Amino acid sequence: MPEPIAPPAARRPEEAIELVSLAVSDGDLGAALAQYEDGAPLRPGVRDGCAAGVRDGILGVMELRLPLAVEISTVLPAAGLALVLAERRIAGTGPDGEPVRLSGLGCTVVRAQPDGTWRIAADAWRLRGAG
Amino acid sequence: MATLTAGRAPVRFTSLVGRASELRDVLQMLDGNRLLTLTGPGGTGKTRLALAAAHAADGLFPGGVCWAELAPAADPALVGQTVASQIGVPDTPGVDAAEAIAEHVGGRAVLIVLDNCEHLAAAVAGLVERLLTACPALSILATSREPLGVEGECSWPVPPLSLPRPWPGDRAMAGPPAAAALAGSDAVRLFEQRAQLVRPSFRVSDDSAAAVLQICRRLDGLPLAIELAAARMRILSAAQLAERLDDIFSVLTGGARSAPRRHQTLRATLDWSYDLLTAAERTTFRRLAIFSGGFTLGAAERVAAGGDIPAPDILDLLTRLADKSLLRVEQEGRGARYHLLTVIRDYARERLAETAEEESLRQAHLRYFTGLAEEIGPLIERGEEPAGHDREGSRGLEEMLERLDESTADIRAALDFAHQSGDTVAALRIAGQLGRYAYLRGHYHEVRKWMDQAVVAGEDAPAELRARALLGSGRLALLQCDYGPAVRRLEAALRLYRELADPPGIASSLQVLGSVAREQGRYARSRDLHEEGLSIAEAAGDRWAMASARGYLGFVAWLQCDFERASTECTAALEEFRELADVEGTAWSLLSLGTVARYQGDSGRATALLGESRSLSESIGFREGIAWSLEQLGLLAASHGDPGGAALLRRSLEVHRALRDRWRMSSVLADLATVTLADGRGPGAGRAAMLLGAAEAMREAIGTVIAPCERAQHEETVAGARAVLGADAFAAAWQRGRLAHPDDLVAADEVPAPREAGVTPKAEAAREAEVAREAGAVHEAEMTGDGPEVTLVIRALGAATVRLGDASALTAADWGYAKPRELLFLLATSAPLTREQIGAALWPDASRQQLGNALHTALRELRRALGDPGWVVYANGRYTLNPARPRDCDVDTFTAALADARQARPAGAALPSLQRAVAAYGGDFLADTMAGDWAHARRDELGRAFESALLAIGRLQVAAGRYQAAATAFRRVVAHEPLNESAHRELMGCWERLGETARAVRHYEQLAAMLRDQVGVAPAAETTALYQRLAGR
Repeated sequence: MPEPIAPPAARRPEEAIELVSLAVSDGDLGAALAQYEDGAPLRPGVRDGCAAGVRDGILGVMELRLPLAVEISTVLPAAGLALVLAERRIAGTGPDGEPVRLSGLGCTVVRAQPDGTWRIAADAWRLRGAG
Repeated sequence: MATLTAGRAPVRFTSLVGRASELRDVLQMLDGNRLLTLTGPGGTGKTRLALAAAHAADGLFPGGVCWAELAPAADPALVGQTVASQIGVPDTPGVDAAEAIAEHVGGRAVLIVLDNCEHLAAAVAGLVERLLTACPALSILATSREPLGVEGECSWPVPPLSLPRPWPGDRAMAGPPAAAALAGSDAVRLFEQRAQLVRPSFRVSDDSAAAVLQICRRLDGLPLAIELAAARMRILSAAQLAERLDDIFSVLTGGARSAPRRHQTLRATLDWSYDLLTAAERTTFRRLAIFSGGFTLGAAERVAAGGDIPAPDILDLLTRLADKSLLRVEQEGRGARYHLLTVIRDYARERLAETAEEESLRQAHLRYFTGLAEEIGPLIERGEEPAGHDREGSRGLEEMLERLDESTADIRAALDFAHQSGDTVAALRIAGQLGRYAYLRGHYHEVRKWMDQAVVAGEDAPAELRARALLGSGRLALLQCDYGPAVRRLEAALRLYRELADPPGIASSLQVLGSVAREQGRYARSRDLHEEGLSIAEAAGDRWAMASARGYLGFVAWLQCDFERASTECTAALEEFRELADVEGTAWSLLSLGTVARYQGDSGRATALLGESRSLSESIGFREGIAWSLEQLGLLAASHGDPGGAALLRRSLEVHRALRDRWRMSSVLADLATVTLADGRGPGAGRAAMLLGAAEAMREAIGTVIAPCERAQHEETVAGARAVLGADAFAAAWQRGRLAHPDDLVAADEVPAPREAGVTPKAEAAREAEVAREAGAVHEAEMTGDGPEVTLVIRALGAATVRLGDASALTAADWGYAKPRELLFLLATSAPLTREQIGAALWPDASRQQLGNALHTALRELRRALGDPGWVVYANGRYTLNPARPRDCDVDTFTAALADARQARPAGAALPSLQRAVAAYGGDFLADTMAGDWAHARRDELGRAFESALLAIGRLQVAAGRYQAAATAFRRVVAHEPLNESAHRELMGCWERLGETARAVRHYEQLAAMLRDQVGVAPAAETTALYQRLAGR
């Protein structure tokens, strides 16, 4: 059944990244994907070398069932675009009972949409084991 | 139409006339056809015949007879849901209504009656085909103006009522008929009976017989037309009526006696009735067609008044329309309720469409139902009653829920109009108020849809309205374990509440989001959300919200095996909830602490805490708390090798299933696997593996994981079952479990077969007893509104029992928990009681909201245990056991016999009544039952009456010179109450008269010693004087 309630839309460039983080924390895959433009490239992944599509990449993180924290460090606006640098962190106990502690920097290009909202045009972020 | 309860046939408040042979035909056809459609034009009496058949056919369908009324349904897409909700099939996300009904019916022999299908014939046909294919023993009886067109359908045109048979001289026109010649005609009987409603003295006489015959023939024996015409007998004679009809019909109708002709007949009769109305009556009649279901006077005043019709005139106009049979009136506890028969509503709608009033009436209708939702919704939310402005008497929670139940078709219509007319604010105002109603009634699916539609349409509506509907829809999605959509809605609500800077809204959204995260196994997220909620509560100084947030934090902690934090948080929550006298919060905190103690191996503490939690939950009807405590107590018992543990777990599963909580059901199924394996008897390992498979399938369906605290037990059970079975057999059993219905697995696990929701074994016995009734009794039941003829047998004096008819006594499992049983004893031995009186007796410490919930739950469980909601009725603001139903209660027998004794003249004639009373007194009131202070007071009162009766018997025996018999009576008094000095004195007198003076003296000495030891007093002077006289001899 189609979901009648639309996912939230970013009203600021960095909010798109925050909304992805919130959706991952909540387990709302649809809301996370809605922050990306169709065909946007994503290079995320829990492990090095993971180059799956947006959906698989997000799902992989989501399956940890842990909150994804995000800290925006830089927002660099340009004409209709913005470059956002952020650090993401995940810490806690995974579903298998093992401790999880991951973090990593990311670089995201966000584009203004005709309706005034912002969506992610390209995204690269990587989570590595943190000490 | 008055539908007394979900899925049960409605009760008509006037009798069915005739139709004995038609009823026989229908029953015979039902025996050989799985789909029978009664067809005929409006007003033929299809519904009445179907109703009589439904009652009479009960015995043919051991699985039950269900009734679904489709007239108020307008949307073909909702046919399945409408039927499902009316026959009590719970909605489940992802399962369409037809499938849910099919699963509910399964292989049982069930009859579903679908009434008034004509406007949805194609959709009904589709549903019927699916159900008949899926359910091999299902039969369907439909009523429709046309056949449904389903393969294998048997359609049967309902004939008109029988007209008089020709009598000698009829054909020769030799003379008018005598009244006796018309006696066998159902049409004439109906005319006479309906005419008597407006002119009680009317009888078909030799003088009026010819005119009555002419009327009935002119109206083709069509029941509704006859009723409408008979209503005119208030002012017309039969001859005048016949003459008028003749004039009208000679113009309007003609030709062969066929169905189209009958259709014309009804139309002509309606036209005629309508034309005879005054202008104000016509306007009102047309306007009433705007209602989709029944309506109250207040609703009619608010919707149908206006223009030339002032609101104060509406009552009179409704009465006049009812007098003319155009409107039906049902008297209910809280006042009259009106409705138009479908065919009459259709006619009125046609007339309304001819005017320019429809749009403004729809607006008024929408305003009224918006107001109703906004008035009742918050009261249900808080479990409160409105301030004392209510002219219709007290409205308990149940009554408010019933008001919304009755208004469902109109709320649906109002919402449709709101959307069509672009009034998105009204749609949000209505839908947003129905969250708790949906929770209490289990209408998760439809109300959630209403809320979602309103939110989607109301993009520009005020944020607070959108936020409320989103929060409500999110809550309902959580209840359905539909976590993804729940999160979507709750995050949207939270965003809006943050923008509105609304701390209570933010806190509520965070709390529900935290619960979703917990059930999904996102524990860290859940903790974060509740911690934010705690901060908000602390900032606001809201003690209740702080306790609540800490309780949730503790809950999340113990699910993650962090027992130290769980203990800290839940202890703090417990202290606060106790101080706030919040029973639900207290029960919940105790549950958490008891569970922590169980995991920590402290069985004694766990037993005490969980036992208290269970008692508190039961005391207020907190079903989640009951189900949880049963599970934890079951695990505790099982860990000690107590075989009762499995029964507690099964009961827990049953309550969770009633709540549709698949998250908990999956855990309890796994618990049962553990217990089954540990049992070690029979094929325990195979069943355990299947239960584990079923639990896994359920977890996957809702997207959750095994909680960390349950993991060790789970792994141990998996390893144990695998070791017994071997890897291959284990995997095969697991797979079978994944595909099986959990009910079947639990049934195989030595529990009674799963039964229809709301039907207990005793109710099935009652149904069987009903089978024995003769067809003749059906009509009587229909006239009086009676339900099953089975007697409710209540024994409250001595060992307390309740049974239905000859069935065995209801057991603890039938009652679910103790309060419904106690409520029955209270109602059975009291005059009708208000909600407050019941609350003072059963829940003296409950808040108003808690009382509302507790009473609502206990009533529902009581009605469920008795298998028929009609046993408890609510009238004039009071609850009572239905006085119209057969009841055999020993307290009634006892008090009635005492009343007879008091009436007896001369006094000596009272002896048989007194002996009857004493015989009925099987022991003290609820002697072996835990009950509140009210029962102690009743016990004292009845006990004193018993002693008085024995004293009176003794004295009458003395007066008659039967001293031995008198002594026996007095000895029974002192056995019952050793401090009853009058009885002791009388007994001494008996001994004296029987020549046993020494015994009398000894008796005094024993009495004096007892009084001295127990109450520190000496015998009364009168007793001592008797002693001195006897001792001085």
